Amino acid sequence: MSNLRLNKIKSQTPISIIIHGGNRVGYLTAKTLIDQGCYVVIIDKFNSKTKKYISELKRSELFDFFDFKGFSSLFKNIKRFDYIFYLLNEKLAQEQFDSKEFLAETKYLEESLINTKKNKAKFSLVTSLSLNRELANRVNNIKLASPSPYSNIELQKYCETLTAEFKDRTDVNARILRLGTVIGKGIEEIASKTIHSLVKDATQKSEITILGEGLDIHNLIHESDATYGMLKLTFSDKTKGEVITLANANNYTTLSIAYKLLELNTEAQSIRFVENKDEKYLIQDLYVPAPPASRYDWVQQVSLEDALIEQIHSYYDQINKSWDIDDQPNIKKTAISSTKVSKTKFGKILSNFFAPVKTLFSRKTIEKIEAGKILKGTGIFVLLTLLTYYLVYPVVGTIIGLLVINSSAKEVSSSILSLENNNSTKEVQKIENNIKRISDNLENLHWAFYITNQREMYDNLSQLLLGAEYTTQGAEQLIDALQPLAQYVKDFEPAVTFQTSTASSTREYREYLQLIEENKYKLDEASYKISLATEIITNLKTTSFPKFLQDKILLVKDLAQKLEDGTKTFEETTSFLPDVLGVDERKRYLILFQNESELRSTGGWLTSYGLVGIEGGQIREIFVDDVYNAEGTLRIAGKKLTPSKSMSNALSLTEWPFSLVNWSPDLSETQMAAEEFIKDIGKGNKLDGVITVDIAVVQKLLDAWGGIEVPGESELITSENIYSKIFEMHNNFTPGSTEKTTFLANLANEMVTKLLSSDISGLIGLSDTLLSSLDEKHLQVNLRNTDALNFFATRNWAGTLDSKYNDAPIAIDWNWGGNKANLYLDKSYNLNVDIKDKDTVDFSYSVSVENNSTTKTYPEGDYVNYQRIYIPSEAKILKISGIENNEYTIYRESGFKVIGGWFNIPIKTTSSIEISYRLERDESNTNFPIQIEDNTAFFDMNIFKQAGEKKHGYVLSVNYPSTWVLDNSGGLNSISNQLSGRFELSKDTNYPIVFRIPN
Amino acid sequence: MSKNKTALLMISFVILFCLFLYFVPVKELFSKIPLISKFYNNTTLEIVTQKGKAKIWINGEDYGETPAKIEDLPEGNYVVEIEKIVSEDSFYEKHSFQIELTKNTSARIDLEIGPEDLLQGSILYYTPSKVSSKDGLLTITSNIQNAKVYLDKEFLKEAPVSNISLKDNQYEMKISATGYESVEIPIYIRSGYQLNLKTYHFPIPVSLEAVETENE
Repeated sequence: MSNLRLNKIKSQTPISIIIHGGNRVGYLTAKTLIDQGCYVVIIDKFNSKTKKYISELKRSELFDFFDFKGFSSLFKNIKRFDYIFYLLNEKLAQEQFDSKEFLAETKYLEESLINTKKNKAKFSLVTSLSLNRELANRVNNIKLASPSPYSNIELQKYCETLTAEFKDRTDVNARILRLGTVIGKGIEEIASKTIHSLVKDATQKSEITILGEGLDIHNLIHESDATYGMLKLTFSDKTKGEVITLANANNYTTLSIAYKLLELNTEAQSIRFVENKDEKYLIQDLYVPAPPASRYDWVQQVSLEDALIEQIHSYYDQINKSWDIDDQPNIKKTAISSTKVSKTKFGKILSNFFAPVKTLFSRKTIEKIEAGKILKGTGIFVLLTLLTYYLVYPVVGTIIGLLVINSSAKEVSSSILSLENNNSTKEVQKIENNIKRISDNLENLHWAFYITNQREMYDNLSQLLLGAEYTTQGAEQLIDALQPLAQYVKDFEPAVTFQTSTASSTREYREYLQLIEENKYKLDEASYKISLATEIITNLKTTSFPKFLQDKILLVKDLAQKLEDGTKTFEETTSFLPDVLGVDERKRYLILFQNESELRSTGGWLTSYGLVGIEGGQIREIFVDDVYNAEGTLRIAGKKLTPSKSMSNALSLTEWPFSLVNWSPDLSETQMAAEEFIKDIGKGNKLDGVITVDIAVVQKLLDAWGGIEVPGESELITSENIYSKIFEMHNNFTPGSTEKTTFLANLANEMVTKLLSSDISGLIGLSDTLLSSLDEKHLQVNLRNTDALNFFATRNWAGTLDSKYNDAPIAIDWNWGGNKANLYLDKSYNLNVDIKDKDTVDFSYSVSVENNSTTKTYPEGDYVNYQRIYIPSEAKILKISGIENNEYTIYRESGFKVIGGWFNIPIKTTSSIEISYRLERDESNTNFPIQIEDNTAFFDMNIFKQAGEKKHGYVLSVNYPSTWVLDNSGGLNSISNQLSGRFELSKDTNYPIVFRIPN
Repeated sequence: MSKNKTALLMISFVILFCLFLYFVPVKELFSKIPLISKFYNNTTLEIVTQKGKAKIWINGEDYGETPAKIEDLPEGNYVVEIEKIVSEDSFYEKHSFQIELTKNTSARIDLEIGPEDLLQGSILYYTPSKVSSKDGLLTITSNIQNAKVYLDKEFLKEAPVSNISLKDNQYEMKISATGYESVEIPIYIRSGYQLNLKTYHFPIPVSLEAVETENE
């Protein structure tokens, strides 16, 4: 064999070098490696001892042998190698060396280490554990002599030190393996003289002789375990730089080994103790071995008994004696496994963790465990499961759920404000899931409420959670349904403004509007769920909750109610919004700017008007003009309109000027009348709605914004100075001048621009202002779309005089004095309703007006007022007083009976007007105010407030038959059979009164 | 040491079991197990339209025409769409409803489809009640605000009505509103369930009277 052959080995074949490998351990190591496809080179002396191993190995193509003479040349010529096993322990069987041998050995070692480093190979120095023990005992016990300079102990010490220092210096991948005394069937003579002597005695003599007390300690290892251990520890990178003890876990004394041999029924039948004159007294064996190989996943495979049996066989064979092991009693055979499943770190943790379970379920243990223990274990398991399911998890799950809900709720509120619907939906779903989870947990905790007699609290908590569940389900649907609307609000950019009619954008939002229509069913469902939730939450018994929660429950009730109102509003709005925003065709709306300080039927003297055209969700047309300019246009065009008979009679007019278009208090009729004017002015044939805005609305918006800058005005326009600005312009106004028009158009433009450019939170901030304006009828919206009209009419925002006003009288003022006297008036209303029986009701109504004007100079002055009182058309008038000169007219208009006449109040005076009438049920009268259903009487009192009118005091009293039982007072105070209320009439007011009529 | 290990094991069991309960939807899993799923999917949905037939879609899937009885849908929320079948393009719209099906219960849609978005009739379905009471619960909503609700001819209150506790029994419901057609329907209250009743009402046609403007 030559270097040449070694260098022809394929690159993927690993190469191992075993120095001092001509022995049993070297042979087994080489054989194992060759079997695994490794190329092995043994370096040793070729002699009679090594010959049999080398000859055996040489049969393999993957083996080569070198004598120490060729040591240096081998490393010079070898191109690569992967592992070196330096079996120094075999060399150390020799007790003494001369200096030349000592130095040669250290030189071989050094050279091996250098070449290991050079080839980036792995190196294992195998030394003797027993020599290391002896060295340690000598160091620890001064009574013991130091080892001689060239002894095997010194050589081992030197070699170990050299290897360790070399590793520290070069970071070579090296480790030191201290091998125990190897025994096994291939060991002809055990390296430890004591054990060799014991086995020899056991196989050849009748008694085993022990020198001394036999308490000296030995570390044994089976040859297979030694081989497997060396390979495993060398291959592992974790052992780099480590000193490792490779031996069986147990230490054995000479005596214990002797007894073991006796147990195995060898030749020897007894033990003989002989005094040992050379015994080195050792008070205590203080030797601490290096970390065991088991720490690196090496596992002893062969038991001491089996190893000894093999060893005994070997000794018997040498003397040609037979020993039938099968006849030997009490010998347990252990199956040897050559493979081992190792665990990762995590695996080890889990393994340790489940060790008790494994023990519990292992066959071996089950055999040992008594039935009682199994029952106990099962009991604990069941108890633990129940405890977790019915107590621990409900509490922990609820806490986690509440924390998640809290954080998600914050996320939802911020994402809703920023119109991020996807995020909102995700968070709401998270809330919903956690509410369900909490709800399930509460069910599991039912027992706790039961045994503590807190069932009422449990029911209320369940209801609260059910309400919350409905709310989140509704909210999820709501967010989904409102996505197109939110997107529309987010993306909207007006194409034209009041200042310019040139389109700045062609973008339309038709697809959003169509989606709003398509999503209506989702909104219906959302509204349903939320209304259910509100009903449930509203009915919660607050006092059943712990005190610290009661305030929060009240807050939740309030929030639920607001959410329901908001959702219902949205639900109704979306039914008409696409149409109103022109999803199919252009919609045109008339805006009437009124001054309520000169009160007229629909809210005040008409100063300006505007037209807005919307198509595909985009503003396509905007126009604002002074009402007198419109009249000028009509005059020039020769267009004349005839006033209604009532107006003509009242105001003695033959022509109907546009500025008096709002004669009817019903905004729907005003819209129809205005349509004719708009057509004659040349601004289009059809109107889709009318919106009235008065100064109070403008003032409220200016208050909310802190004023607004208007082009052409030197000062900021605020709620305080707007009246003076208008009065000033009124004084300076001449027909044809554009001063007032320009100011109002610019003001309107600035306000609309500011409104449209507000973000969603800004609009929400203004919602209170707009809502109160609508409620107080300073802002009115009357649209042609039926759903829209219903929406605004049911909220009393449409300015309609519909059939629900079938009981209380309606007072309508018309200031015809050309001044702003309404700013100086104080009024008080008094209405007494006397329900005689279910078919007859009497009404007595009076209005008292005080004019606080101190001068007749504009804006103050006498209040010249054409008063109209609208009563149900079937009413029988019983009394009228207070009309000037008692000259009044009674006529039917807009489905009502109207009493009209002048009711003037000079400055610094007070006047009153009184009216009484009776309503009787009649078969032809389907609109009688008392509806009877079975034994229940519904009496809805609706009190109308004239748009633009200031807040004035109102006293209402209702008498009913003493036999009737009051079911619902509608918010009025009840004493005996009388209901009464005193309030400020700031908006249209409804009192739904319900009586039960006994049979 | 052994005691510590056992304690640690018990604590770990509790934690792991809690995590299992938190993350694993046990009920949903049960509803997917064969045989057991039959119990979870035991639902019935009846769809009836008066005065004409309608096409039915459930969650976008075609389910034929009315009258239809659809059984064994897994419990959960469904979007039911119905559209009146007419010979040519008409003014009848497609209507969508959200229905919640609960195991071992029946749901019923009984409607007359009118022009545009008008509907007359009722939708009825049960959902589990979470209140410990032995009674059943009744919830009513109407598309007309403040519609009056009568239970066995006695005025109950104005819609919406929610979670009225009633004994197991059959009742006669009437929901009426001025200017709209009434809905009368028998209902069956089951303990442990909440009955959801949604009603829709046609407006009653009105004869407009002429506006008089002459003085008396």
